[in-house]
Amino acid sequence: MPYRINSIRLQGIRGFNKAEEITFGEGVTLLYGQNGSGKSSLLQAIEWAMIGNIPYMKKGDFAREDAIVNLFTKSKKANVEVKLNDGGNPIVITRTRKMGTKTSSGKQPIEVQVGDKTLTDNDAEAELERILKISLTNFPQAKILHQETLRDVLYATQEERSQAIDKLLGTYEVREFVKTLDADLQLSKAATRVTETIDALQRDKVQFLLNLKRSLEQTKTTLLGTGLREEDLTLSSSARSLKGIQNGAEELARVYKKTSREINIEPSISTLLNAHKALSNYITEIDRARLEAMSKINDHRSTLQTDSVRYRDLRGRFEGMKNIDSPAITARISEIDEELRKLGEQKKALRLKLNALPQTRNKFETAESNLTSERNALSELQKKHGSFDEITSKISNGEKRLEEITDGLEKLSGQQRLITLAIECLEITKDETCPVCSQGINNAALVKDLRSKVSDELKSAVNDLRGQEKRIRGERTELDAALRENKRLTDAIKTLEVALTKATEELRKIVPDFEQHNLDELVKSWEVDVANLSRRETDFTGESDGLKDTQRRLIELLGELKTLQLKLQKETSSTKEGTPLLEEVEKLISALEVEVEGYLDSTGVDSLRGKLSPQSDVLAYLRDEERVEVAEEELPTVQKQIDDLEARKSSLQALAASLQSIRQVSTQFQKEASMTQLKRLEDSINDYYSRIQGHPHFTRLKIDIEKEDPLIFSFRATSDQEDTYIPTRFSTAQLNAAALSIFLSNSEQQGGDLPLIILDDPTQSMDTAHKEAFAKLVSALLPKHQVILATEDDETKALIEKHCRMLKTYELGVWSTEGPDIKQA
Amino acid sequence: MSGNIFKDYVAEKLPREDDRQLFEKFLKVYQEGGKEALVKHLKGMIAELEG
Repeated sequence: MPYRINSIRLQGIRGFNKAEEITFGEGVTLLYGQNGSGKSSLLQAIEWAMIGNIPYMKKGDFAREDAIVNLFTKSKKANVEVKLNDGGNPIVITRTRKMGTKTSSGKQPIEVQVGDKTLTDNDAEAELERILKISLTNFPQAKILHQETLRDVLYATQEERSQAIDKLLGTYEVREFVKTLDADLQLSKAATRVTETIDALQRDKVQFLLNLKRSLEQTKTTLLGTGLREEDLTLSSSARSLKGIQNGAEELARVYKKTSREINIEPSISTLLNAHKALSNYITEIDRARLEAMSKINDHRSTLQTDSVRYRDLRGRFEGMKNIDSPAITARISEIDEELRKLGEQKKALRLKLNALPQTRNKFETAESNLTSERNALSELQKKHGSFDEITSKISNGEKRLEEITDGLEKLSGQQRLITLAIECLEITKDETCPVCSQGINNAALVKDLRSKVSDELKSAVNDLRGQEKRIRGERTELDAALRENKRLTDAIKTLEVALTKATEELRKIVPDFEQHNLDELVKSWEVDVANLSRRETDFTGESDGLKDTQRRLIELLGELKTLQLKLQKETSSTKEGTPLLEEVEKLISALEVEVEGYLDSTGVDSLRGKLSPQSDVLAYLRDEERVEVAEEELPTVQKQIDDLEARKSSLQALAASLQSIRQVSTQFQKEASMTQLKRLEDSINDYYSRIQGHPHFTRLKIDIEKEDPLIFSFRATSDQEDTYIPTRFSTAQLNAAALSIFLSNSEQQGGDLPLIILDDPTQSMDTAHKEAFAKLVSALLPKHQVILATEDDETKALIEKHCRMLKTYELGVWSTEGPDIKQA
Repeated sequence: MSGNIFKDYVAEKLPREDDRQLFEKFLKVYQEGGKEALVKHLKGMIAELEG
């Protein structure tokens, strides 16, 4: 009985963090879950346990970190245990790995336990290959259809599709090997660089030497043509010439007061070139010293001439001013200052008065006006109500009259009460006799008469008194107000009289007899006075300034004349003044003109330059002569370098040829191996293809080699009459079916004693009909094969469940950092 | 690459001994270190020859 995978126990690998154990069915084990739920991780764990790597995880980002060990596992270690059994001989495969820096490097030891025997590493892998009768190298293409391979067949370029077929057939590594050996461009670039180096050596060394020699001969001919002799073209001769120029330069330097310069002159080309340069600079400096000295004398002469002219001018001006009486000017300035002081005081006094008068005048006039007004008011009041005493007397009389009226009113009131009582008595008694005189009376007429008395006479008398009382009280109110106004006006008049007296005093201080003047006219006359004073001030100031200016100019003239005279006396070393001093200056100017003449002559410097110039050509010639000698000495070494480079170039070309041969033969092998394998699998592939309903008309697949290096497969479908390229006419579902057919055929052929088929998302582009055909095909693979199938597709799941009886299903839920959530359905 | 079949095939087909030795070296490097190792080896060879 062939082997089956019984179970896998895994921890810390890919998407699995915590430990999980999955048991597999002998038929189909279906792993169902959404993208990212961990299905592929489980399949990759089986592959890794068997072969120690996961294809598709070598390049790009996988080379930058460890993608095998789970990122969240605390132990940072991956551990997978796969148990196989053939019904009596169990095999336990254990592989481990510590987290490294890359996916494709690092140790990942394997241990295989077979019965009592435990083997490790190479021995373990060899034992597995022996027992299972498979090649672990071919395990990925023989046992696992990766979703990436399928995707490459379905969606990639023609070359990538051919690579994917290589992966399905097991010849992919040869393709990679051949591709890696394609170094034509690098070799061509390297050969070009070597050729360029050879060319540069030829140009810079060999050709350079030839050109230099030719140029040297021409230079020599030219130099000899200028009068130089053969023996002049030597280092010692050139050294002698430079020495001579140096002596001449030293002599000239002394003339122009330039310090001497130490220049090393020895018969070697570098020393002489430096000496030539130093001498050239030295001669330039000497010439500059000559020109500077000449310029200095010229400046001196020019200054003397300017000073001489100025001195003459100052003397002339001094002559014109010598009659000025300076003490008289000083005295006049003092007088003017005194006048200005007085004028200032007068102006100040007038301005004070002008400033103070308006306010003081205003105060006076206001007080005067207010006083008049109040006095008039008092007079009017007294006219109306009398004097203060008269008003007081009127009030007193009024008071008395009021008392009398009050008494009168009380009497009338008493009479009224008596009459009322009499009326009440008469009405009650109804007497017809007078109780007092006992005379007969008419009671009713008497009552009527009394009533009339009470109501008319007494009432009239009371009203009269009340009218009087009201009038007196009205007069009293008016008199009280007049009394208060009288008092107020009297007080105000007193206050205003004081204020007027004060204002009068103040005004009198400004204008003592102001009553005699029109103040407005007075102010105008003061303003005229101030203007007159100002004019006089201006006149005095002008006169003073003019005098002062004259005085200042005189002092300055004397000062400048004295300073200039001293300077000229110092220049001429004499004590003379005036014209004799000027004559001395003229003499000095003439002497300086003579001195300048001496510096104008540049013959010495020109002569030195004339001697130095040919030495420049001689030294250039000698330098080139030395270069020729050096280059001739180097020539054998250069030739050796060129030979060595030629040999390297040949080796690079030989390597290119060797690589070309190896690639050709390797491609030939790849071609033969692929075609042999395809031939071998042809019937099987077509059987599978027709079972997955490849195409209703084109029922057979035909895979041929279309191009070599790199090997490109043509992928065609044929019928009895026609054939066509699949990618151009067929749906991706049919390409999917073709890829599955190749894989299953190859897998069947290389099944060994482990007829395991692992399919990762195999129906990714199939329609329902193809999926159903595929599910039936999977069912037909049983019980000969053990199938582990991962899918996210509900339809595929349903169809597998419908058609496959030996089925074990796991559902993978939402993934977390702990790992997949796996439940057996 | 399945076993020695490829190695034997190419070695037999290459006419020159130098090329055979070169092929065997390349194959060894590839089998031990993969594509990157072979690229590195080739670059090293070219650089050495170029000097």
